Amino acid sequence: MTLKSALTYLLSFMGYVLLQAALLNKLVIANSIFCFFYVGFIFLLPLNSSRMLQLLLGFAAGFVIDLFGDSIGVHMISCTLAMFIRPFWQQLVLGDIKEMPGFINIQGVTIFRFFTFTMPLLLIHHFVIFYLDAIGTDFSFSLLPKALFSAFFTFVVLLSIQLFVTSFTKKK
Amino acid sequence: MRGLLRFIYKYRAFELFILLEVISVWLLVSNNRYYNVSYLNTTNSVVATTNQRIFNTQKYFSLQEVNEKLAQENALLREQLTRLLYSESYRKLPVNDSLLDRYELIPAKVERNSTAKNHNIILLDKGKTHGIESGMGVVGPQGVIGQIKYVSNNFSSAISLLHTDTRISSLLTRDGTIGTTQWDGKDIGIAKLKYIPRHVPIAEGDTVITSGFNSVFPEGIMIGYVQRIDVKKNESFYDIDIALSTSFHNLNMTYIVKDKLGAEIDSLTTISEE
Repeated sequence: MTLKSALTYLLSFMGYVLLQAALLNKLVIANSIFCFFYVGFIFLLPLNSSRMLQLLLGFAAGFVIDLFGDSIGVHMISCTLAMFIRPFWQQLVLGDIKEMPGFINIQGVTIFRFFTFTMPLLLIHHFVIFYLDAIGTDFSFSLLPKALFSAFFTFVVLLSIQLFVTSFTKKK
Repeated sequence: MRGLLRFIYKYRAFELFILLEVISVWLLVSNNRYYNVSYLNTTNSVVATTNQRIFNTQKYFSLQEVNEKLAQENALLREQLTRLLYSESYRKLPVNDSLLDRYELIPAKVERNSTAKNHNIILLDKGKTHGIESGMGVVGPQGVIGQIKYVSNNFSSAISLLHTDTRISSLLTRDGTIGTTQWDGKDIGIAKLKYIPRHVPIAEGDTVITSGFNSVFPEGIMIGYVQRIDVKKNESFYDIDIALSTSFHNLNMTYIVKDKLGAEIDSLTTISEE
């Protein structure tokens, strides 16, 4: 890994995590639909990044978010699980893409493929978080819809940022 | 030997995955089990200071509302003070010094607060240096708020009443029946009042206050009002919903309750239980 790419990783890590801790942790619809936008950082890591690095970065991102959310362990477990699954899913959905410099972005894949790649990972990640939070309570109600709506919410935020960035770079 | 090494190398991602998951699960479990031993929470100084910066910026925009609330609380306190000064019972009260100033209230500002999870935590700006200890109660102008869990030098975090593990010994003012208030994780304005036997007379609108049966909260702090009463077949207790008096989505000023006789009471309880 070159110094430049290491710096890119570090900056985007801090950007995603700080934005999540400062802004999006507050943004909860109807007290039950969450946006875990920070997963954009780990789910969209470059296609050719190594599996070990992906796992470690997922673990680290979960750790920092847990510190800010007073939920140590919860995001760590779900992020690490999602990052373990990611390479298999990537092989299946984006396996034919040989070359894509930098983070996975909407310019490199179509919106539809972007959706099929991120959505299942988001669902697993969100569901595990809500499940861990609900352990010990009577959670016969609404775990699955909660995860589903939250995953959609996160996806919409991720997509809007992608589209925003795309239109910005095109103008240049 | 070489085969073994090759095997370990081949499945290294899987092994790392298992290792990381084990660490995470261990942190999750041990953090729930032991109080006040972990620094991996919002009382950690780096996290707390960052949070404080963020929150201060946000707070600037709600100053107006905060002012109004403080004015309201002032008015209420003044009213209570006048009533107390002129009440007959106050003059006749036998003076017992140690009981009169048993509780000390330490004002604390809310630095961060959540309401959307099942395990909600409130971060307060007072810590060890201000005499805060794990286990102290937290009350607000409108009633009970929670209980201190972690303490660092300058911050403490409290488990909110909106935390499914919080249990508060409660008293029905109508006839003094003791029950337990616990939140069920569904609605941030409603908690359950448990263990009220079916023979007890009770009506919607009855007041629920703290019982003072432990050294966490003084007696008579407001919890809420009975909102809905239900009787299930074959159950010996009522199913009661209470509307909480505190609105948790806009907490601001709180008081941490320090019980000066707490240690004495606790040691006595331990001795008599043995």
